[in-house]
Amino acid sequence: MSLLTFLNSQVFATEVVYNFVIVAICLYISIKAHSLYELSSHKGIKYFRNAFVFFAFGFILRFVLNWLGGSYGIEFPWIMTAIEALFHYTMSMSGFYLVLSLIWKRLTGVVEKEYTLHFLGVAIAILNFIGSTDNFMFFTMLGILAYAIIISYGNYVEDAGRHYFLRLYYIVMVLAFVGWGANFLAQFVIPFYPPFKWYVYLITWTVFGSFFYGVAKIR
Amino acid sequence: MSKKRERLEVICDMLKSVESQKEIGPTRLLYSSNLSPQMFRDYKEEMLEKGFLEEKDTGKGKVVFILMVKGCSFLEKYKVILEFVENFGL
Repeated sequence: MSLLTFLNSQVFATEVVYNFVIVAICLYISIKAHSLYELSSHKGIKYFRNAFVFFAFGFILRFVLNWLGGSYGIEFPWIMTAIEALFHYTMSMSGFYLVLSLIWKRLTGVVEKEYTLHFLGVAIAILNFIGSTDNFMFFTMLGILAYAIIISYGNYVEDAGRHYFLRLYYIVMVLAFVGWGANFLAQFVIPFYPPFKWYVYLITWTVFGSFFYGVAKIR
Repeated sequence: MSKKRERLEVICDMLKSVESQKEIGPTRLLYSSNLSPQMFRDYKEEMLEKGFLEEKDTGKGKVVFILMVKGCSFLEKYKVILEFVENFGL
């Protein structure tokens, strides 16, 4: 497929809008969290910010992958492989940081070594590369989100409804879990039922939109 | 038994003490902060390092703390920071 055809296609336009909205939300959250971190040096805010910085990079890489895959994938397979590995690394890191933002206080006495997370992220990217698969990233994300559901539900119960977003947080985590599960299933379902992709996109938008709502409401 | 104060709350209390007095000596700030001397030293160092406070020599061999612009920003944004932390379970 030529670049022009690809650019003109509706699929490309949808991909641009889909990724742009998510990247914009992630950058908004990252910038707001960063400004608060600069004042407070609060570790939880730092990890939360990092999670959304990695999400932003992840979705930029995802878009580049789709774009290059549709245009130059065959000519430069090594570039595709490198970007894909980077994508797996950034997405895994975003999940790790999101969970770390929820549990860092419980790690009392444990020295939080962030480089171990990076090491894990790289390991996942390498395993995916060796296995020529996305599965290690998908299963890692599903595991992380399952854990995040438990933690966020605990936070919600403990909070007894005092804070508006904690009520929503665990529902968003459940939705994110469903979204990633659907993302994983998409590779099997889409060949038979193409509209399935839009359901996955809708779930992902809802998840990031909810975070945007939660952050934007705080003034 | 009262709940142990969080780090952000301690910083806020200390900055408020300085703000209310315009300038305050180390001993008075230590008493008003309700911290142990060691912890007070740590917090004081952190706030000087971050530019929340500045040490000013009064000329009589005494040192006082004054609130800086960044310290004012912290006080202004304290509620936002707290809301952010609490709403996202951070």
